[in-house]
Amino acid sequence: MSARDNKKNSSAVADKSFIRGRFASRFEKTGEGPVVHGVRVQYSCGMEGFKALENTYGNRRKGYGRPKHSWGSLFRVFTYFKEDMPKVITVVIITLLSIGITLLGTFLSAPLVDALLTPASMVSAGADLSNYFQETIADSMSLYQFLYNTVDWAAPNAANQAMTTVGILLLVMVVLYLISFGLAVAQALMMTKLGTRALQRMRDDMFSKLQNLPVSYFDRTPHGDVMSRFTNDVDNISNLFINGLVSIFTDIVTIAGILIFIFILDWLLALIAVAVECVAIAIVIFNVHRSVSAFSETQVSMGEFNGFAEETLSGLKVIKCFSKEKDMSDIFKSIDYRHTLHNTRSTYMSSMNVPIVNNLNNFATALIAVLGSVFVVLSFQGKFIDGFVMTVGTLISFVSFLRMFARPFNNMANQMTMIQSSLAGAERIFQMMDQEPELAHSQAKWRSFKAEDGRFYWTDGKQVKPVRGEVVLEHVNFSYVPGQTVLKDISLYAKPGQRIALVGSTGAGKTTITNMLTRFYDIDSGKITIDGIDLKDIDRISMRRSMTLVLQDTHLFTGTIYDNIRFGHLKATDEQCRNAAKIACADNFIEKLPDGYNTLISGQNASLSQGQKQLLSIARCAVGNPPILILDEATSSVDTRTERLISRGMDNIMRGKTTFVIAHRLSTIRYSDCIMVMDHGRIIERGTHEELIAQRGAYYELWTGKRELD
Amino acid sequence: MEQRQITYTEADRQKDRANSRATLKIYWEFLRPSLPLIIISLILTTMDAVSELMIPYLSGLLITEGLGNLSGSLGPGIDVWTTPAMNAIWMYGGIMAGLALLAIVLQTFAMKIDAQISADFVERLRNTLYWKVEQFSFSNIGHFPVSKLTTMLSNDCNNIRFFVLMMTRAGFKQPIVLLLSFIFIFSLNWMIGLITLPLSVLAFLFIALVIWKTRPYFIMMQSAVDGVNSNVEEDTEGIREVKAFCREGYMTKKFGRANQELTDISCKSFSRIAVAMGVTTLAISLTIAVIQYFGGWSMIMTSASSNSIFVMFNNGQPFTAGELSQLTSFAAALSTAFGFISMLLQFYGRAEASKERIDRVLTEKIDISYAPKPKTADFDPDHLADGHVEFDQACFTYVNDLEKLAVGPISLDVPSGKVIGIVGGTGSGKSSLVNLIPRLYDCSAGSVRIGGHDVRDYSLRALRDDIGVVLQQNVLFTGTIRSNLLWGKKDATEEELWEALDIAQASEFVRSFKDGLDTPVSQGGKSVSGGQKQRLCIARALIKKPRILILDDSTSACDMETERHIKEGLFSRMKGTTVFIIAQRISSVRDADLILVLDNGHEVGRGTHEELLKTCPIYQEINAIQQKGVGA
Repeated sequence: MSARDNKKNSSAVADKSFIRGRFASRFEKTGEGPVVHGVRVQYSCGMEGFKALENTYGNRRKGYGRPKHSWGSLFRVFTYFKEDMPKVITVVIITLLSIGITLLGTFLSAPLVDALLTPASMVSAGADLSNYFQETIADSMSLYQFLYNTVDWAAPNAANQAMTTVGILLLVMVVLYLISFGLAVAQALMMTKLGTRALQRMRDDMFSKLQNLPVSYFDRTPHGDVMSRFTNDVDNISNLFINGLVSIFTDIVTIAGILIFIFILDWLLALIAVAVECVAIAIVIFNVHRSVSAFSETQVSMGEFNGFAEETLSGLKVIKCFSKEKDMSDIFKSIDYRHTLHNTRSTYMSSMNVPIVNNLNNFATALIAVLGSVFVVLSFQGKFIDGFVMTVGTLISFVSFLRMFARPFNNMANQMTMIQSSLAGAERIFQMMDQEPELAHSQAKWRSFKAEDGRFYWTDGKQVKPVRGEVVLEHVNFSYVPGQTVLKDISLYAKPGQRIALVGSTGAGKTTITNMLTRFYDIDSGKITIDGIDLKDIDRISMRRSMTLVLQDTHLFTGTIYDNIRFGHLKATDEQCRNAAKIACADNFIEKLPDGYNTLISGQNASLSQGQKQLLSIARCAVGNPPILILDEATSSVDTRTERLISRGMDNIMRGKTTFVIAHRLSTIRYSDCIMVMDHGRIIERGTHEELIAQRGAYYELWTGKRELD
Repeated sequence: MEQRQITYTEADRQKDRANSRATLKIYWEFLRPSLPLIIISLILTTMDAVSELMIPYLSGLLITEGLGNLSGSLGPGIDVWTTPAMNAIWMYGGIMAGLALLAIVLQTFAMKIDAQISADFVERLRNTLYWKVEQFSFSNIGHFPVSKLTTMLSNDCNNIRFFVLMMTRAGFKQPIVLLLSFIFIFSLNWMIGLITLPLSVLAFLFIALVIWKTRPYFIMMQSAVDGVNSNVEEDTEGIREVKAFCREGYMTKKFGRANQELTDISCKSFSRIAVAMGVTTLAISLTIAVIQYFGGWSMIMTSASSNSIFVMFNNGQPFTAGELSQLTSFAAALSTAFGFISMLLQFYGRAEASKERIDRVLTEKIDISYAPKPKTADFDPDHLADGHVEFDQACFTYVNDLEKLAVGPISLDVPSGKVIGIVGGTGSGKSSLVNLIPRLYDCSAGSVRIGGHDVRDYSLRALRDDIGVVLQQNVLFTGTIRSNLLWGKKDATEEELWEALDIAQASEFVRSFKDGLDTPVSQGGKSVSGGQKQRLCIARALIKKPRILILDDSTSACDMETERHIKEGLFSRMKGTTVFIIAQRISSVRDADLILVLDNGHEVGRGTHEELLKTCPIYQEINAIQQKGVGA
């Protein structure tokens, strides 16, 4: 309790600091706006609205938890590229080539003016070139001299010759541009493919991990939050994968190249430049550190409103019946307000890097130019470090190189935003994936399988024995929350083929027993065996394969009616499906549907009533035909006439199978082999209908209506 | 196996365009409160754009006037520190450094405002979208799956936010940079300006065309996100079934298909963008090469003779090397601006796709509207006068075809305080009939009257506050038992809560919980059993003290005894309330004042339990089965 309070307090404190930090709250528009085309514009709830609801919604249980910050998560996402390693290497090579060609282009275009155009225009004007050659060309790079020498400057058509060389040079560059265009397109296409595939693998991996999480995870996590991880958090990473990586790689290589170059040009100025860049980098790192948690909060609060929206929109009909639209909208707004605070903060903090880096670069250029000229003067006067010579020429090329430096650094600063939001996404993704899964497959000794003859068998690798369906519970205790025991010392024995009924008031623990049998939850103490094998020694999944569950709240899945029936047995033929539907008396209404068995239904399809859904789920159970059946209020919404009609079919389904039936209608369970009467987590009476009636105990009172179940 | 095809047809496009026009004004309203911020942002941006162009200009001056002349100033006997070259270096270097520091402050401030504008904009959008969905009538709800709506609220809104953010950052600044660069280029050499302009325009048009063509893919991409979302939703909702049937693999495969779809479509659309970006880069590079070639000719020609025709292009001045390098650097600024603008276009493409999806929600016609009659001496539209309900030839159809009625025509007069039982098989139209009373659906023909007035004359408040409905598929919401009960009445006292729980036979188990009323409830009410959930839902409706109470199969998970007690409580403590009970069990309705038997939407019997036992064969049959017990 106190831990929860602490958590609440700390988050409240954090929120307050954001509210203070929220700029321009005077421009914040609260309340509602005008009606446009039947839509009333909704503004923010504002700080007051947020505070008013803070307590109410602080009470909402938050199952998300805060992700731990670790840069490890960011590197972990790269493992999804592993399968495409050869292609990744190809992209790296293409990128390197493309950088090389770009640098070559820059290198080639540099002497264009000085070695060709300026002398050509001087020649045209009739000026003498010898001074120019001495001053500019003589001690410059060999490329300058080479280009200068391609032209016979003494010839009368020197200007034309120079322009031919310029033309050739530009042609070479155009060819280079074309090559680099080809490379860039190839690289972009490959990277898009690689990136989207890595994301695909990531989502697939997330989903299969999700499948292995225990039911308790789903019971405590808002579904919308899980959905948000699949879409919004993955989406955050997608930019990094598709554009970011190549761009960051290019920038790093370019920066490294330029660094080497400026150090060769002049180590002292390079050191100064690096020092200024280090300041920029330090600010960026500091910033990144702060904004990562803002990003993380953004994603968490997005998951939060997604969870809230998913829950309330799924229950929209109830909301409408209670006219709670306004209240829900207010809560939504308050969550959205918090999200917007974090969103603004993370956007702002991460984008701050760009102007800082950009302008510090300009600052560095100015600083270098000034300091450099001082050095030039000092070294000329011999007052500088011994043996250190700096010329104006070096300084000029240095300054122009520094300007080239700015671009990749800017890009990097831009990419930091992407990296931070990716990190925030990755943390939440891995937080979900790293949840403790249900116990692993390999630790189990026994598995069940369906043999060719359609029967189920147990095997531990050495011996094989048929699944008979003998279920024994010995002194089972269980609690969902430690300290609040739900099942107390439950022992029961179901012979193969028996029908066991569980009766009792709501909350007596009937459904909990089925949770134990299906191992949605594990028992605290005691022992459950099937055919003499401890449940803990049986592989969870294959154990479930040998039983079928029909729940009160039936869920159908998007697909055709066939698909939904086949959910019980994937290899069932259409005919088997139709037979199963007949047994469940579902064929009547199915045939009335627009496309019969091929009618598409979506998860929350409103056109099927609860009773029809239950009939479908019974059909689903009939088609599977495993040896153990659990019916938890399977026919509660089916009308009695239909229930009677399916009862014969149900008898057929249940024949030879161990069946656990939970039902409120005592008429449903009257003919069970054994009836367990439960109360407050204990079995208080057991026996057949006749025996229990003869006992004149609790069951008798229930049956005759003398006793109330609570 | 189901094959969902994601498509975007011409008809969709037409409809979306019409919607798009209609909603523009709504988006304008989202933006309007931020106008002062936008103006500040524009001022800052303009300053920023100017300073951005000043930097290369200044650094050019620094090099040409300062560093370039420095070597000339170096010589024995000259005091270098006071030469014009050194002065220029001090001055331009100082201005540059100062400008850089100023720009940090300006831009950081602008970034903060821009972040605020975009986040506020999308907050308003999201709040309005959520509000609009809440206005949906029961039939509107069916048009949009929840997974799609949640995608819109998070993912689509985010796409729009990105666009607004980029728009505030680059949408104004980059065109300014572009314009200024062109002005500079034209003023330096208009021939080169004439050459670069069409090239740039072509490159721009190309990008715009690609984005335009990719738009359907963006929309399909969002649909594919819906697909992924709905698979996850379905799996989390139905996880017990998935696990019980060991269908983890099957669900994973199904998810895999949706995932594949998303991957294919996003790969396709991103590839197009990537190629388009490559083409722009190429166009810019070619432009620069062209500038250099013609600039070179200009240089040579103008220096050869001042009468050359080239001088004309160059504003009558000779063209120098310095000018050429300035041209090149403006061309570079141009290319950066183009890069930003094409990025902006790309964000626009995605945002536009998302906007169209959202527009479909915003323009969705709500088919139940409330136009209460004005208050008169004998009619108050905000309160039901009594619980007298009359059905007058009421009919209802889900498919807008009076030939295919779900229920009706039914006429029934229920005086205040009576208890009406409705029985009938699955799909016989029981729920459809009672849904007409609180206007969850409207009659397709005929009418329903309460207290002598058509239900359409009442305000929403009257229909919701004075009618309690317990739906068949009922849900509790995340929170506590108390927070769920308070739905019925916000300011209910402790006594009222317990009274309602008492009547609903829920007080005993609530007391048995350690935290009592404050026991947490998890999503969908999974932390309590089915029967407990139903009783809590009944209590929630009872707290309103409604004049009319509708129980739609809401005690199916309770045992008969509990149900009997609930009914006894209702009859004795809720006198004067008209109660409609829909049930499967005869026992649930046998002591009702009137029982209506429905079959296939038609009335097949009406009367008390005893009367129906004599007259209605279907009723007799149901009764017989229930007497004997199933499985006989």
